[in-house]
Amino acid sequence: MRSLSLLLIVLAISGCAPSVRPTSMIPSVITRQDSSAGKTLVLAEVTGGEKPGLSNQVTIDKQAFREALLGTLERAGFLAPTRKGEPADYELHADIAGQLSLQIGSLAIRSHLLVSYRLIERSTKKDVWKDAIYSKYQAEGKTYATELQKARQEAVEGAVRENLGQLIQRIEAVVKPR
Amino acid sequence: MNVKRFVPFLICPLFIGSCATGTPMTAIYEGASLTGYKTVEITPVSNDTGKTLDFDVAAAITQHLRSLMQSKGYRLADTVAGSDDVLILKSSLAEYESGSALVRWFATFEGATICTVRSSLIDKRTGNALGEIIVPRIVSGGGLYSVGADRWILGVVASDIVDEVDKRIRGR
Repeated sequence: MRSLSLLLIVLAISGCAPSVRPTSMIPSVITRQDSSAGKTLVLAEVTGGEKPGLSNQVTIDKQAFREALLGTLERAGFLAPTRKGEPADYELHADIAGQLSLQIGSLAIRSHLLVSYRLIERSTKKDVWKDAIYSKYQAEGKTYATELQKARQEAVEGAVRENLGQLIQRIEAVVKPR
Repeated sequence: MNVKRFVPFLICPLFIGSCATGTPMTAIYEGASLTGYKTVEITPVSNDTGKTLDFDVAAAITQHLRSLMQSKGYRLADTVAGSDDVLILKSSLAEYESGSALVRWFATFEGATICTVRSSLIDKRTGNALGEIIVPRIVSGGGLYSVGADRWILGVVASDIVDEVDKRIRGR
């Protein structure tokens, strides 16, 4: 009975897996030369990802990733009001190919993320760019249990943020301003 | 209090984690297919860690990749003349930390051995990129039972890559 109580206490302290916050996954610094003159794009679809399960693993699902990606594209000016009557120039597809969080210290979590992207020019329907972007991020907790869970959350959010930061740089190189 | 009852609980954690945890992450690009390749060109693994390591980790992984590919029945491009379609496996060591089994003995999760390799899959004839494989592996426990992890983790990572390539070539 005592063991059972102890187990329940441990489970209560450990808590459930926190969910990721899309707003925390948007890179804070995005530089775009001239967003008003740049070409625009629409986000076609996001596939892959994992819904959070019963374990204490924190994962990113396609809905949360989509929200973060839209926020990033908007901040970078790619979703800026499209020119009147003109459709967007490009279509972006994203597939969350893999994600993994590993505990690498007593209180440190490192998250790895691999996302495959494809940019299609809408006028020609041709791929102008496709690549898989790999990112990782390490977060540290301060005390055990709840802080470790927070670190799991921050590590996943950080890996997404890094990935989206790289994506914007890559799109910038492909999509030249008019 | 019967102390013997608790001995297994004290010993078990020492073994837990003596294996390398982690799983491969694979992205195959839209419209790309790996099925049918019988010959693979394994380029020497580059060291992209930015660190000078105690031994030639990249060369050790290259050797593992070569022997594992051959053991799966694939031909290595540099051992046969005039090959048909060739799949290039271009890999880089993204991160490596040798860790310490002694530190792991005293504190699980500390002193972890870490190895991450990134592999690009390229069709030699067209030069087209077909996909990417990332394998992050870590040994974070096991204490003294994990002695030598700094070497055997390389074989585990190489095996993950080869298994993943083989799976895709066989269309599984």
